[in-house]
Amino acid sequence: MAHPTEPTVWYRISQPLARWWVGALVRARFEGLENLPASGPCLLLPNHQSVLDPLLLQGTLPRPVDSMTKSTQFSSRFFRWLLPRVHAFPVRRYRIDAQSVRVVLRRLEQGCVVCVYPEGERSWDGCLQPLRRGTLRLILRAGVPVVPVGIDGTYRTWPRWARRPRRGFTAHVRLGTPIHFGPYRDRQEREAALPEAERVLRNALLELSGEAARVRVASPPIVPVAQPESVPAPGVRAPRPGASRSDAEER
Amino acid sequence: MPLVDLIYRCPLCGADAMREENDRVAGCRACARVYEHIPERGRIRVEGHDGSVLEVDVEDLVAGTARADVGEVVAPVVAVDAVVRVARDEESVTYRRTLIGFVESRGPALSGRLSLHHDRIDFKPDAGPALTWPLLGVRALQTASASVQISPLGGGVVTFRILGDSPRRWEELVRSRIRNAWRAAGRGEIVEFQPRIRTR
Repeated sequence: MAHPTEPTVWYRISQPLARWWVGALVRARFEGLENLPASGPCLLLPNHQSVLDPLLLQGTLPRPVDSMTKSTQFSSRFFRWLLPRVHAFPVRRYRIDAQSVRVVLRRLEQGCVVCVYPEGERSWDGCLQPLRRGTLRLILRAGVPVVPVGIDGTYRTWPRWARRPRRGFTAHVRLGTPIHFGPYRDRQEREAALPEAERVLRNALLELSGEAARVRVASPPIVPVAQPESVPAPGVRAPRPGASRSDAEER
Repeated sequence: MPLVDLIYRCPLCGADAMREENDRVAGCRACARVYEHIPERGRIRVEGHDGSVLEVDVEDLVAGTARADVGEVVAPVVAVDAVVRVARDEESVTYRRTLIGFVESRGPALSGRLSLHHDRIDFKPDAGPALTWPLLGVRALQTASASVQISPLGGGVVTFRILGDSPRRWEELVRSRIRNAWRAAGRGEIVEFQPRIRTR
């Protein structure tokens, strides 16, 4: 039996298939692959824009990725057979699933790369959603390197609300530098560290996914406007808003 | 902003048939109700079920939980065609003789009419007995793909696949109704719906 850190035969078979299928839909550009630790346990935390995200990651990353997958994906007999063979394990999202937490911690102890989507579900609008507190508690409890992953572009290719994918877009996948949290064995310590962990992780995901840059472009910094020194005399037209300085000076 | 841009769908009967009378007044072609915006008070004047004229907040009206000044609860029933699957049991998933988790074993798919009231969710299947879930008995709420899922008291999960409407809209609708029902029952403000409903 292969070591848990080694990819299974089915993982090896599915990797090029996933690469081929995703590659047919979207041009993928990866940055920061060197940030993925070459060995040892690590938690991969990507933002979730599309159904293509896990295929993109598992199809390209050099180490096998164990994905926390919603339990409804295991509903059909075929997927219940296939998904564990491609390193996925189920999580019941409608309750606190202690078993999935145990599986994550066990796989991290074995030195695996475990992928958890901290938003808990795909985004409806492509923007980063609130991070689940349960995931943050898990990060603080595990105390392994956390690699934030920003995915940008898969939402345009196949958003959650679309029935079919659209071709012609480029997806950027950026792996950030590993962040170290904890480990916090004590529950009170974990609770105290939650807000800071959320802030750090959220900022990292916003930067890596390009969302922070988009927000900066959409709302440029407010530049204070110099107040006119005197009120124009009656009959003198004030410069139009938006008129250039030379226009105003000419008048 | 014209009122029809604010309430593009009749909040009381749910019909997508709003008619613009003028910027402040809009009427519903389906139920013939007339809505009048009162901007100075941030409210909307609407005729109640018994013919009395009520003034309600816009947010409450859209959420369907407006409490009128006279004490009448304006709770429109929103309905949609849906496919419902109820999962009461769970099965273990093992790989290489190791337990890796649990998944719900879903029951048969029932198609029918789903209706959301101010205190419960009703489902009338095309055949078979009707099903009801009180909002105060919902433990968790989430969307999964194009479905809305609730976890009722007693365990399991109920999946509503919404046909002909947005699951996102339905998630928001169910959320606001649950929020209001819990608030009215004195359970506090809901801050989280998943993995379980948490209040402050």
